[in-house]
Amino acid sequence: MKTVHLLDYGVGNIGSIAGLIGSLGGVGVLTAEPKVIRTCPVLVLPGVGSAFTATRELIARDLLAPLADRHAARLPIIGICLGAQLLFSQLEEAPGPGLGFLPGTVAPLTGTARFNTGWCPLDWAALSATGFATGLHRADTYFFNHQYVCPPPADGRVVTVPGRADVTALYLAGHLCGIQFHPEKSQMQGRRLMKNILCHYHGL
Amino acid sequence: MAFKRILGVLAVRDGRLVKSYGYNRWRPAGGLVTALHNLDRWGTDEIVVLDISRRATVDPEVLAQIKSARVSTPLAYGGGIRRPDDLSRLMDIGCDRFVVESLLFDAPDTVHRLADLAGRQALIASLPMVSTTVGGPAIWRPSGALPFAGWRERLRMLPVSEYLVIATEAEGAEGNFPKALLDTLAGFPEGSLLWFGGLDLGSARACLARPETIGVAWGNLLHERELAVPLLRRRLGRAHLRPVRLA
Repeated sequence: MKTVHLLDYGVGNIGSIAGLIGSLGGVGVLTAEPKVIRTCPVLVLPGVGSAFTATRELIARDLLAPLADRHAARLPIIGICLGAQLLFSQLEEAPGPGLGFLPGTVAPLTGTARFNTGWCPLDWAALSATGFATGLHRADTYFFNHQYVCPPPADGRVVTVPGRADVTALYLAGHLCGIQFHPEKSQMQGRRLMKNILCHYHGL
Repeated sequence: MAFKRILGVLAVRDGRLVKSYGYNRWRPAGGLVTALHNLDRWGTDEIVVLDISRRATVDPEVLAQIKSARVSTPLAYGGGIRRPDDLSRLMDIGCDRFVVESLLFDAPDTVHRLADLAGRQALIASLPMVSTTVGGPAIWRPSGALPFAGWRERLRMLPVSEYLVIATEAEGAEGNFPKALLDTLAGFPEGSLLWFGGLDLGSARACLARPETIGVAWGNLLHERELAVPLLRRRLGRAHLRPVRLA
């Protein structure tokens, strides 16, 4: 069984993600060890909650340097929900800097709805060649729960919500993958998507 | 942006799943873990576990059952949440969102602290509504009903994303939902209201047609009948709800 490391920084849906990885035949292992963070084949950066709390915890636990080293080595990082937002340089919610691996500002949703909570379909056109959408149906929906949105990475490919081009649902920028929604809480289709992503990065 | 939702509400009391009637009578309703698995398999859009024991703490026995169920459906929890530490424990066992009630009235500053930790999108305000003979609709509190009109603006300003509006007296009796409540809550933010208590198909459709509504919730009806969720989804129609593939 392959091991998938999950960053343990006291913020997030770690139990659910570890359970999902287990259901796919892998082993989800929590880590805050600098050496593991720097070198493991794939690292999941989970996150539920506010960016303010998350950045405070990353700093308090001395995790910024090993994460930066990992990024410099171009080893895969999969950010989920808040984890996807933390990879950018500026967070309006915190307020302050994120990890700075991608340029851009994570900003509040625009329009009449202040929150995007619920199930949305995805437009997979930008990632049709990656295999990420293998086995998924066009009508499948995924669970979102956020009030801030990532900008589209300048050199990345982006999956959006149909009719809402401003909502970056999933991005792929080299070794960085950000998932704004919750595959671990998106039932059968979320499980299939996570299997595709971990297969892409880790051969799971 | 998102589809409107069908929620399954699981009431627990003293560590056990119960069927509740108007929040003043209860009977055992089977195992919580089994009910969680059923709602998960049947494509419920969100599950809400409400501990109605009126404890001042989160019940570790209920948390253990939730953790063991390992559902892949969004999960909200309410009952006994008093401190930020409670949210950390709930997140650890797989809860995504948190329902608060007493804190809204007794310690609103704590609600802001919870929002700082979990984000406003994770907080749901529970509003147990009751009718009164004078003064219009009210919010049930153990110490006595609070006139809704006097609280309306304060509730709108809370750092929460949604409001679970409970028709307390209709709860447990399908078809008794008081549609006048829809007008009472008119003008709340678009996509912020979840309705629970006494809903039938007609009243659920009326709720879903409102711009303020983001979801409709049922209690035991939803997990006691085999495949009740997909059947309900079909009957309510596809105008507002997502299509679901079942395994």
